[in-house]
Amino acid sequence: MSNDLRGQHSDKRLPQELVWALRQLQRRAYADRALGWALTGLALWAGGAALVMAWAKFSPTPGAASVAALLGILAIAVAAAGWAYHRPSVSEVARVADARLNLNERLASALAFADAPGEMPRRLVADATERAGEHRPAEAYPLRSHSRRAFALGASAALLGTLLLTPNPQAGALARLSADQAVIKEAKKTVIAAKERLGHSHAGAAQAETALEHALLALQQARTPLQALAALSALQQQLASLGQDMSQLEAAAAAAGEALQGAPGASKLAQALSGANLRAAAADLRQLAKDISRLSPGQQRELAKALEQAAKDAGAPAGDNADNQTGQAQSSAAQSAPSGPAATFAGQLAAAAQALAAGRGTRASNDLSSAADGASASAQAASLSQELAAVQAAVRNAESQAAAQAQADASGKGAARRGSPGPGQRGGARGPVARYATGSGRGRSSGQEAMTGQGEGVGRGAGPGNGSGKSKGGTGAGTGDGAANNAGAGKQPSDQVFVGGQPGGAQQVVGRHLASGYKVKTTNYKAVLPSFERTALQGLGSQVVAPADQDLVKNYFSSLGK
Amino acid sequence: MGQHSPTPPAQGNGYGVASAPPLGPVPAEKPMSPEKFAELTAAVQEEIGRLIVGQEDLVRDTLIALLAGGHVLLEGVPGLGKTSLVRAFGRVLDLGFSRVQFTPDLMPADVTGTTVITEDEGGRRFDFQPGPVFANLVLADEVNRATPKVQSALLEAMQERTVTVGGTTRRLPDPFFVLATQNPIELEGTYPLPEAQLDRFFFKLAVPYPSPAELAEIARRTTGNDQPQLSAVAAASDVRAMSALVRSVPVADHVLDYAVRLVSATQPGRSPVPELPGYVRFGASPRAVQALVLSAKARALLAGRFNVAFEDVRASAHAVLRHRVLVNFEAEADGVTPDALIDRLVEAVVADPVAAR
Repeated sequence: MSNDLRGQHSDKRLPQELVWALRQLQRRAYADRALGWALTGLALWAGGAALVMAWAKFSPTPGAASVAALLGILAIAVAAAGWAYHRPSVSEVARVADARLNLNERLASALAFADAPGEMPRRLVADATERAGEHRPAEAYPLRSHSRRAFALGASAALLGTLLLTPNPQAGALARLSADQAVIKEAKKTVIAAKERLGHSHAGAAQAETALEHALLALQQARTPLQALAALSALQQQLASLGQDMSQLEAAAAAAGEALQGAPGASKLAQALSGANLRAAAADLRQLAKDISRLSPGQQRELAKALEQAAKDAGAPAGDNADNQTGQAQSSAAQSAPSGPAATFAGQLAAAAQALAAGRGTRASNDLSSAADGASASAQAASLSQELAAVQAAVRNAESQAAAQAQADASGKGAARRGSPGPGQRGGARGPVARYATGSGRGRSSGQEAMTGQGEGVGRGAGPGNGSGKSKGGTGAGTGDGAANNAGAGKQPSDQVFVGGQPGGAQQVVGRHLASGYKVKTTNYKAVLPSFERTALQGLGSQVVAPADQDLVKNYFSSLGK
Repeated sequence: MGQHSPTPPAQGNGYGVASAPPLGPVPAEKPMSPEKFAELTAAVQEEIGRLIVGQEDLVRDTLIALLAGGHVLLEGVPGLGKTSLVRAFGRVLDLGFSRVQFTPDLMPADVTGTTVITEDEGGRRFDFQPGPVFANLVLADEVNRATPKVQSALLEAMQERTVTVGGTTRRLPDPFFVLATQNPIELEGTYPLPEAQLDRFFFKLAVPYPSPAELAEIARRTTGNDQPQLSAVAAASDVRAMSALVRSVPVADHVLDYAVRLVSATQPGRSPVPELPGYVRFGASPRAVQALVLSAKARALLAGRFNVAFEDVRASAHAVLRHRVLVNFEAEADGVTPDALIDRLVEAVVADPVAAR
């Protein structure tokens, strides 16, 4: 007699007919329990997913579908574990069958006394198996016993289906959130790529690297495009500042080269400086420093005059009283010249000129050597400048994407199109974002690149960077030709965003969402006022501004001009 | 002054018992086959049914108590056939039958028997004259009318199945059953049975009024010239064999557990019925579990089964517990009877928690 029944009676030698009857019941019990757990798991899943979906209808919940799917996996795991752990023992099967088949505890008693000696247990087993054989196992474990679970599953599934089929009011917000995250992610990638680029090519570009580090940190903490925009704008400023130093140095070198044309022993230097070839200029300066002692006193005086003029043209402070100062003082003056490589270079030229004029050739030679060192260092930095320009371009692109997305968020239009800048973007101009509350009254605009939208806003602004106002509904804006045809659009009460820019692609300081702790430079509104005024007046001509408000716009710009 | 010598066995007391031997081992009876059991029990019930109209439940419960070796307290108003029922059992089972009408002036010796001086050729001697308790089936009619002293005389007989008189303990005949009756009305001048003695009754059965149809049948049968004459369908040995078979019926642990939980639930502090502690002074004793299981076994056999079911336990609950659940004044004042509490208990105690899941 085989006996593989699970449970506490597995060590008993049970009569074959009883084993057979119990095995049939136990198989059915396993299937029944599996069905029960499956229904329970599915009902839990559907209920949980319905809750998640319902929640997602009221609050934008990114990844709600993923959470629902995760709940499903969890429910399946719980159901499987529940079934495995709660598989009924043969004793339990017998007792349940007794109760459901009205066997009057025959099966359970037979199981308990199957191996007992005597006539009565034998008769009991025979009676129990005979009575159990009159029923099908399905009668003990009918499908209808799961009706409540099935109902719960049906109700949950119906609820879930309804929630899935009905439109999600938060879809727009979700799309915006998704787009926001994509923009922030893209900005991070841009900054990381820039950092790697600088790090690989210029191990010494510490200043730029620090700026990139800070920007990356800020981007990692950014939750909105506005915050990303703030980080990118700050980075852009710092990069621009670095690039500006290099530009000034090159300009100073060119001016100095012009002044040195024809100076004795400095023809090659003049040529190198005029071509802003700092590496060659450094070599020529060193050569000139060596050759000073060979020049005649007249040539030295002539060279001193040329150097003095070159220093002036390069931006060194006037040296009228230079003759009255000691070499030490002159050297100190050169060292205390305004910061920046251009000013330093000019100061060193001026010091050399003064020393030469004073007949201190050695001193002049030293100053020229110092200038050569500076030029050499700047020559190295020049290539960094090119890299910085590339980085700046990338950051600018990311910045424009963030600005577009921020604007899209404000307009309630979801994701702005990315990666295909419009004509205005190509022109290098970026007009004020609509929420920049320059102007007042009603605004209506249509975007050409990032998005389209309409909105009404009552904005009041006192110029760039200081706008405040209220809006009703979203605001549409575009980055067309850079003209501020968005002026007057409303903005969200809590957001103050504007992106600088003006026609021609000139660098502009960017204002931003000014969180506490941020200190950024702003641009004098007079620098951008003409552009704004022109755009506003164009708007009047194209009937963008309501007739009732046209005088208001005219008066506003008139008052600003005064 | 003569010494009380060991009394020789009595030679008969007129109640169908041949002797009242001193205490000795009781020979074990071989269990009867289930088929024979079914045949005999059916015959007994049928034969009694010739005399007792209706009252099938009462007859079955009495038979169950007898098969389980227990004593029965029958409670009912006069005229419901209690005495007839007991007498019928005596005849059908061919058991020695005696009847004692309990009255306030009854003496213990009137029940147990006494030693008397007898004189013959050999001289005088003390002989034990067995009382009516020395019978297989003793009808203690209106048991609550006798004094406690007499009632207590039954204690030893009912529990130990022995009687001690004059320093000699004598075994009562086997089988030995006491079927006592009491009248729930006319309680003036009665001596309610003490709890200890109540507990010794296996069952307390309420004798119901017959239905109108049964009344008509009673009238038909008893007002003519032909009186039904009962015949014996079983002997005392059969009763012993049936009792042995009853005891061999297996009880699964979960069924036994139900009986235990049911009895435990009668005790205040252990009951799942919230109102029970407020109405019950004392719950049932361990004898209740014994009675419940034994009666369930007998009931299972009567139902043709070879195992005890929850249903058997439930069916015996009232008869076993109603005289063991002692209600307090609040219950009496509120009209809450033990039977009502038992109904609540049966309802509240889940028979099989595993199957109920």
